Amino acid sequence: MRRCFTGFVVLLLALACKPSPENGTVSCGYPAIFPDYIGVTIPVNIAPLNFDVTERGADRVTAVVAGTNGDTLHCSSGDKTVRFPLKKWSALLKANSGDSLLITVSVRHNGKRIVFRPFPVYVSDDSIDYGIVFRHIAPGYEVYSKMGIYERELSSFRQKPVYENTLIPQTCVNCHSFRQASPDSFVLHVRGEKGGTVLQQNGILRYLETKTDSTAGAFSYPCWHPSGKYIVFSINRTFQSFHVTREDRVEVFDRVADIVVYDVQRNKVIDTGLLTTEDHETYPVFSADGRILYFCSAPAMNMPADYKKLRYNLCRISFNPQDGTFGTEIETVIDAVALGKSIAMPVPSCDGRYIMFSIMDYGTFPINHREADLALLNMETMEWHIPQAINSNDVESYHSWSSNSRWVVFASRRRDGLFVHPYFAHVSSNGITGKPFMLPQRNPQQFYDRLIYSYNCPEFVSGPVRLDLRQLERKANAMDKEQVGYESL
Amino acid sequence: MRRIGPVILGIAVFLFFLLCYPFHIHFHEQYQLFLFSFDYFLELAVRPGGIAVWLARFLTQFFYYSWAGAVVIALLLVAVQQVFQKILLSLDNKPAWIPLSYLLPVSLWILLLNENYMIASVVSVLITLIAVTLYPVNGTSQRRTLCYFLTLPFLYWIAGGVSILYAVMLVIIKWSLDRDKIRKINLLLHVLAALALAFSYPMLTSSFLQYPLPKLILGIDYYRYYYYPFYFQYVAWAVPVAVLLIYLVFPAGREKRTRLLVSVLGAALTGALAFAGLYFFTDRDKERAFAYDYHVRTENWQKVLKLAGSKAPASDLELSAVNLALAKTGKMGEDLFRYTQTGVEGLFPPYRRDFVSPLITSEVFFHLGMVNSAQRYTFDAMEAIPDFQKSARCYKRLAETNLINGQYGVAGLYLKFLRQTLFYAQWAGKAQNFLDNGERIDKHPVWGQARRFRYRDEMLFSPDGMHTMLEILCCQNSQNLTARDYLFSYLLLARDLEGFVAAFNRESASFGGTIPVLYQQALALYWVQHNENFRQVPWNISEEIQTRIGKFAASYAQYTSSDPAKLLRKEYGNTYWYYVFFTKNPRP
Repeated sequence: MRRCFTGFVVLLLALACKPSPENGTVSCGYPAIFPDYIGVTIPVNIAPLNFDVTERGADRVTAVVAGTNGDTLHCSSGDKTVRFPLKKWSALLKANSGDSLLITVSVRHNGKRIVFRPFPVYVSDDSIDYGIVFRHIAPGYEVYSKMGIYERELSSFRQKPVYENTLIPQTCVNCHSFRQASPDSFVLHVRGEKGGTVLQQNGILRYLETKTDSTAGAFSYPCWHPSGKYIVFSINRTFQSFHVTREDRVEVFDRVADIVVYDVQRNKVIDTGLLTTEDHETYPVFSADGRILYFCSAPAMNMPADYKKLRYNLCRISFNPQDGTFGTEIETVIDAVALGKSIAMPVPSCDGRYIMFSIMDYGTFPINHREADLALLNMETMEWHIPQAINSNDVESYHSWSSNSRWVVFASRRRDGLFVHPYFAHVSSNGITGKPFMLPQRNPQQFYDRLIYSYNCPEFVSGPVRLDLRQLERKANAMDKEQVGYESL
Repeated sequence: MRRIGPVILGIAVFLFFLLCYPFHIHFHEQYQLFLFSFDYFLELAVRPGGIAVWLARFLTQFFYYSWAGAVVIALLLVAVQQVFQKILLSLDNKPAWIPLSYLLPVSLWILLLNENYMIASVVSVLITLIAVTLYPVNGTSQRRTLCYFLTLPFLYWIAGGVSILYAVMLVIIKWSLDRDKIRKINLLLHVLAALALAFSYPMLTSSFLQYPLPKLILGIDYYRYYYYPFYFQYVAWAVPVAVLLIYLVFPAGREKRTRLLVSVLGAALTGALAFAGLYFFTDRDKERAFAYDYHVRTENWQKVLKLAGSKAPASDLELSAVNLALAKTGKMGEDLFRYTQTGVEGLFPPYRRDFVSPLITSEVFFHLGMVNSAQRYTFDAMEAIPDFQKSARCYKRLAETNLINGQYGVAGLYLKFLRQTLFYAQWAGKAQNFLDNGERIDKHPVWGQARRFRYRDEMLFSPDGMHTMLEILCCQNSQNLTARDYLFSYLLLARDLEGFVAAFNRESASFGGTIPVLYQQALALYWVQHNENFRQVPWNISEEIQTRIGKFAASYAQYTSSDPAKLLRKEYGNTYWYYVFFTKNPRP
């Protein structure tokens, strides 16, 4: 009798743990969830899309994920957060690769169960890279507190610091860049008294002093040549001014912006003089084949007085990978000035078919421009458009292509207007962008509500980054820096 | 003595911090944000010394009230003394040396006079001493060794680098307990191995915590500037070791008279050190600076003026607090030059990347209606906190500026954090009711006013064009009297008499019939520079001022060959005329 009773209780508990969505009142609308994963396109190897149901008064959430081949994944929660088990989630995605999932959410509300209209999630068979590397920094003004560069694995929730500014006190770190998402070749700048440029290639760490007597300053925005032989850098003397009205906060502008090529093996800056003019040349990037350099260019202005007149065009110049020199002619790819717009951060896809760039009303730093959107330039037709699917009413700025050119990660302030979060969007082979999804977290609402850092400069990486921190610490403390040479052609 | 000593210590510490150092207590409190959340605990608990830091920050939140802070510090120091005394007595009951047990709390007290010496340090020392008391003095050798080896890593995790003190104290205690020579050598080998092990924990920690190794060994949370080598703090670690050695090596004697003498000497030494330490290390200037900051924060303008009345403001920052108080009490046009002005920096101190100075300036901006600038200075001050903490005071202000600016998502985030605090939760709860409710904010006495005062048209903040920025505030809203007074004061302090007259003519309606004395003085000066007499003066300048400026000019002419600045100071030191002609080094 006692055994029967125990069995009955277990059965009741089992039923309670796996409530069926079919048993409740049906709502005709989609559930309100955070992050908004309704109708998003996701890669086959992404971490579970855990979400929170934000319907008022709802609790005891249940979600049933159904694949087209009949696989299902049940998930119940005593609170409002739906957390999918990692292994089952991964198996479900693999089984439904190239297809879609339907997620049915039901909640308890005032003692009644409500079942919402199932929402789709499209599973692309285009996989995404191992992870992203980004900078965590509070969205402030002139002063930084604890910050660092971190790596997040995209198929799980694992995150680890690559470098934190507690290691070498009173430093800031920025502008991390990888050679075609390779974790073995990267640069980043450590700023501050003991600062320098960290260059790691094939396991060898170098600490560079990049300011020379012949250049306007230290290296800024980098981009690796696909061969790994060169890195193109802009050299910017950057200033900040601050808006006084409620809508905007910071305006960043350059007083000097030049472009130079750094020869990694010879440890030399190559300056052809073409891109170190009085004009502002910035955001240099190599094309996928490494034969063209794209950059943004604007005439020098009286800053900050003329800050609203400062507009950049997208330009290009040929590049000779044999000797690191440029061609002789600068071509304007997009005359944004004529459109009353300004372009920043062009990034070519790894297959060379597209360039994604930021476009805004004026200026050079899209992260502070609410109107900044991402645009896509088709390199075959040379036509560009602003994909509505990935843009919002708030800032979209820094972006990076996955190594298979099917995913972009970009930074957006769309959630609250202040904190920058990473979003991922699928770009199909014919250039159609899917609805982007926010970086998944184990407890998303709790995580993002408590996060006081922005995700700056998300960059894809194809594997874990290994940086010998103690070696870096020793070099920085001893000021053991390699002075970069200069060569004028 | 053993009973009354701690009471005297406790009362002395309490009274000292309550009466002499209350604003240091507030200083500690405002640069932390203790949250009642598991995440907050976990964030600290995973690092060495994190539990002690959590406990210390828990206690520091009570510094919201200076009396409570004084109580906490007094109790902590008394606890340190009591535990240390217990250790000493457990080794050998020689009460004659007990006065030396006060040396440790006294040294901690002196260290606490430095506003950057953290309460976490005291808590860590206390935890370490408690760990020493748990050592089985009378246990078997194996038990003692086992206890020692097990406690060390645990203590390193709980209290951080100060666990070295535990290792060293135990070396001494072990050495003194084992009388046998061979066992002593064995023990010594054990202890050396344990000491080596003590250093291995920071090494291990360095593989997942990115701090310089020396800091992981010696502790990262004891001093606000974790990277600054504040060697003086290690005196507090050396004291118990030294006292232990004295206690074990030098017998107090058996004669009652000798023991009394030792006691008296010990007490005198401790008392003298306490007195000398407090005398030499009490920083009254900083206490005054912190007092200004606190009174500005709490908008207690009368206390700011009282403070300035007792001693002249010593810096631009203090002066800016006084000038803000003058503006807020409507006395700027009367009393600006009652306090030695040094230029426009006394209104807007130059921006510095630290965690103290931008806060007062942000208060100035907030009261002027320069909401974005108040927000920026507040945020930057918070980000500059050297030990990377967040600040409840700053969060509160940031929530306000974001509410005013209609950035409800961001305001909501700050308010959510404040809801997890003890002393700001109630305020945050009320403020949450204003989220997404613009109409209600418009009706709020402070936030609504700030909304009416703030800039409407887009432009960039210009530190070199402050008078233009103030002019815009005045033109936008004639009710913004603080901006009006700041504009006038700015022009006066910049010696821009033409600009002042132009601005005054625009804004004169706001004064009604009576023009404040200083503005009359400036107008009179302008008038006599361009006219022979006051017959056609368009402003309501009193007879007295008209006469007085004549006398000033005559006296100036009379004393030109001697030292007019000195001779005219008494009679004209608080006039604008004196400032124009004799005050040096204002910014042009």
